[in-house]
Amino acid sequence: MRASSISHKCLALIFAMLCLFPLSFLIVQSFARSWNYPSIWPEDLGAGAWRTVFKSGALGTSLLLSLGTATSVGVAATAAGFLTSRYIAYHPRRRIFLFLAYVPFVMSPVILGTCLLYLFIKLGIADHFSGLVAGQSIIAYGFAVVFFVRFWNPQLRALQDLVYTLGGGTWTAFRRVLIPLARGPLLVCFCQTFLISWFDYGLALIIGGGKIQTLTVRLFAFITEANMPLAAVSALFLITPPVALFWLNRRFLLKPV
Amino acid sequence: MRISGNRLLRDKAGLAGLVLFLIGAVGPIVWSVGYAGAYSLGLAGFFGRGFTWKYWAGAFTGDEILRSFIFSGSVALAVVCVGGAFAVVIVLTFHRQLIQGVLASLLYVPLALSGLVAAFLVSRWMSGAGLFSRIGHGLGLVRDPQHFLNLVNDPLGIGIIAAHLLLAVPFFALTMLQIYEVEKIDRLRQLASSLGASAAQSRWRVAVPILLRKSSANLLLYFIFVLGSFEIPLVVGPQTPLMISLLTRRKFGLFELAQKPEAFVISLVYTALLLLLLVFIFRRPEERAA
Repeated sequence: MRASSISHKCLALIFAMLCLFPLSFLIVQSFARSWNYPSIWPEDLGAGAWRTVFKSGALGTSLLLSLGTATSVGVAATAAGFLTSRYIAYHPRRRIFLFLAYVPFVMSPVILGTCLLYLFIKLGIADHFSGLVAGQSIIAYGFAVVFFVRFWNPQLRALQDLVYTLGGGTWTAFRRVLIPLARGPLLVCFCQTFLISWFDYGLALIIGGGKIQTLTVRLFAFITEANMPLAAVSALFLITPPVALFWLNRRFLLKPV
Repeated sequence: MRISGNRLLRDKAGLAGLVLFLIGAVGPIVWSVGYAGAYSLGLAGFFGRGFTWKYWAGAFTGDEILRSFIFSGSVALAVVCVGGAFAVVIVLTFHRQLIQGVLASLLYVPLALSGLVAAFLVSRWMSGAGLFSRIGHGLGLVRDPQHFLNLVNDPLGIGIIAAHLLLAVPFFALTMLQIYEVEKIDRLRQLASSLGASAAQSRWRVAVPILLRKSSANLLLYFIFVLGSFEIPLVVGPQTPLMISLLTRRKFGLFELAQKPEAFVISLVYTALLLLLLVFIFRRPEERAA
């Protein structure tokens, strides 16, 4: 019994190390000035890549652009998804609406972007920040609708009806009852839609046309240039906000839906 | 429960939600399918000179597109099967530590990786001069990078599968962990044990079937996600066959303009396949109850 408990603890330790390995590797890679074959550990460590990033400010611009895009997409998709899901959830044909909401959410961003590019060019928003936000919002909005549909239940419907009975309108019901009750799910949905935009590369490439240098576009450029320390720094920039958001949302994410 | 036209007009928030849905979700898909259809039939775009089937016929003359679909489907199937199996093992082995304890927090670290970061990591670990090859060299198993196994940009898509598994395993594990808690699988296993089942029987005949059946919709959705993936095959995928999104992008972005209509043919076939898979997901009894 004791032997199996020890082996279980060893397995848990190995599993914990495996979880941390990608992050640890990126940190080491970002400080590796020289790491030639067949060395397992870098021959020379230094903060050159970090200094370059902070001195040139190039990644800072991409970071701000990605933050701006992801925040805009998160806010727009969450608000619109919240509103639409309420309509869909109480509709007798909710399954058809839900099916339609899944399509943009699961569709390949590259294929969607290829088919929408002409429309975006005609609207004058291709190669533009607003075009990228619009493109990513289509996918994030589909997710938000699917996410919120399960939130609307008969109890919430009864609460809304109670507000109307007491003389309140739709706005009052939203402001005083529904939004305060939905604070947790709204936060989780914002984080998830933020990440849909934050991680996107395909739409940034096609709709952005290479002009919108988000963090993922920068990372890909560093990978193709074989500039591994700078690629590792960009990768670390890319995964830090999600780690923070996941940790913040843990108690909401682990709650049964 | 039926929403009449008058009631909808009174419910301004509902009306706004419906309008947003038509503009934000239905509109782009209708446009995409319509434009791709028109372009592929010679009714729109640079080659819009009248109705023709020649681009559809041309697209299926060679086996490039068929191979791309088969390759993408095989990669997606491998990711879902292997990722699902890993997740089941993780949840059954560590479910207590994953609910409370350090592991509960650590599982979120790999979940925060993006596709591009996962592909970057796999290229740094599994390429000829990568970390695994260096460890092999240290153990005396690999002489030089050329003698290491071809695991990145390989024709079997092992690099793509490995990168996707980095993302899929923590996601599946968290999904199944939630199912484990909601379905109270611990109690069901205790009940099975008290009725005479062994630990292995309660694991394989109670826990595993519930976990797989309840997570099957998510597994299928993940299959669709991998099917259309782009950045991972772009970094660690082979030159041939190409994954669907990569082939579409290549045909659309090529200097040879004559290939463009074929990009829209692929888009339409992919969309049809996606809709079929979604119909299959929605026809399942559990989803019907949702």
